[in-house]
Amino acid sequence: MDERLEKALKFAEYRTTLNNQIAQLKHRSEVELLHSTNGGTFPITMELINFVKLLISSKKKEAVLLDKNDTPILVTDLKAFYDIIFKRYHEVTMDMHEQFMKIRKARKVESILDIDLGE
Amino acid sequence: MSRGVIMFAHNNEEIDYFKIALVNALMVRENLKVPVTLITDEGTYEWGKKEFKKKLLKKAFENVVVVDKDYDFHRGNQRIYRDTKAKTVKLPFYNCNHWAAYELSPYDETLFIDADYLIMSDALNHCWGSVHDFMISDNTQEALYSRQSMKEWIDPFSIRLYWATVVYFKKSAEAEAVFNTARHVFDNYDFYNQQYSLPNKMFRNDWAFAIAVHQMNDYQDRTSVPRLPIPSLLKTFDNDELIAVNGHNDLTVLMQKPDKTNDFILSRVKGIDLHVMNKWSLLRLSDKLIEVYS
Repeated sequence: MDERLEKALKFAEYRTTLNNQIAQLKHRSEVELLHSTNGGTFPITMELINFVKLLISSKKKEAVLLDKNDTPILVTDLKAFYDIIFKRYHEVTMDMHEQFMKIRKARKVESILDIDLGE
Repeated sequence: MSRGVIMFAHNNEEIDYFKIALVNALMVRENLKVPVTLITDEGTYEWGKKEFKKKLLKKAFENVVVVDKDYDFHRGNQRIYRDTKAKTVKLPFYNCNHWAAYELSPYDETLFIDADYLIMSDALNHCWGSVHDFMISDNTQEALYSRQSMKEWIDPFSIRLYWATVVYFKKSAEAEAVFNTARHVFDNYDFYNQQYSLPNKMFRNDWAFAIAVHQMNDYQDRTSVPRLPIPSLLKTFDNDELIAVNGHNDLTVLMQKPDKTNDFILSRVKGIDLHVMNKWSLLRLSDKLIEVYS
């Protein structure tokens, strides 16, 4: 096989592995960015964080929020809810960034996966 | 409120579902920290008791419920099992009693999980205490993300496909109605098979529950039956192969490239629950998994 073509195919393999591990990282982060309370489950998003912050700054102590299934859930302690989702979002995205950079910097399939493929 | 997981295991001539359920029960105990009840038949249970130490069985299963096996169904309902491209075998697919999960579950809140849906995270703990009585998923994701995900519909002229791989339910009238409907579908399968344009004659729980959900939705698409609180069910197909256990909740998988039969991409799945269709590859790693989780 042409050497250039062989190199290109090897690079394509590397890119596929890289993209797959990044997609998996996003998937795992999506799961970690869930918070359940009072029978409802909420994906923690920037929008949710900001909306809850707005409710708190409007002196609301409790509010009804629509969860993942669009079910109205009464959140009785907005401040405690906010503290949890804000902290979780920060922790998960920081970890996601660290993992992302590690994957992006890897130049070989075995480095992306952090495994020893042997000879 | 009692909470727990139930799994079914009925061995066939080649697949040791008991061992797969044992592995997964240990994973459930570690990650979800709830008890597991196994539903099995006498032959499978006797085999399991002979193969594994009492202490290990006790650690994995809180209860074992032995049910009668319908041997006519066992022989009649067959499907193709694959171990990558290396092996293709037609074997009995005994899954006709999953509608009995409601009656057989000893828990107020139950997660009914297929034995080969490996629990590698605590994600399903989001189900406990839900306001909903019954939840199921209509969304799967291939572990090789560039590969097209499984179809959204049972058939282009049929209904939305729901996956009975994981089902959450509470002891409640609503959940009971869904399971009773699934049983009704099983009892009248010829009729429902034609009515819903099912692709073949094989009985699949996914189809029975999809029909039950469709009926619970007043014969409409997606109206009232809630989805599980996780984004999707991650899956590998039977052309893929688990090749290594790297540690707790950490597996290396060879994923078949799209449209290529003997070309694979390496993937490392960490901390995400994973549906493993290639039972042989799972069984090859099962001793290692038992060692890690016990």
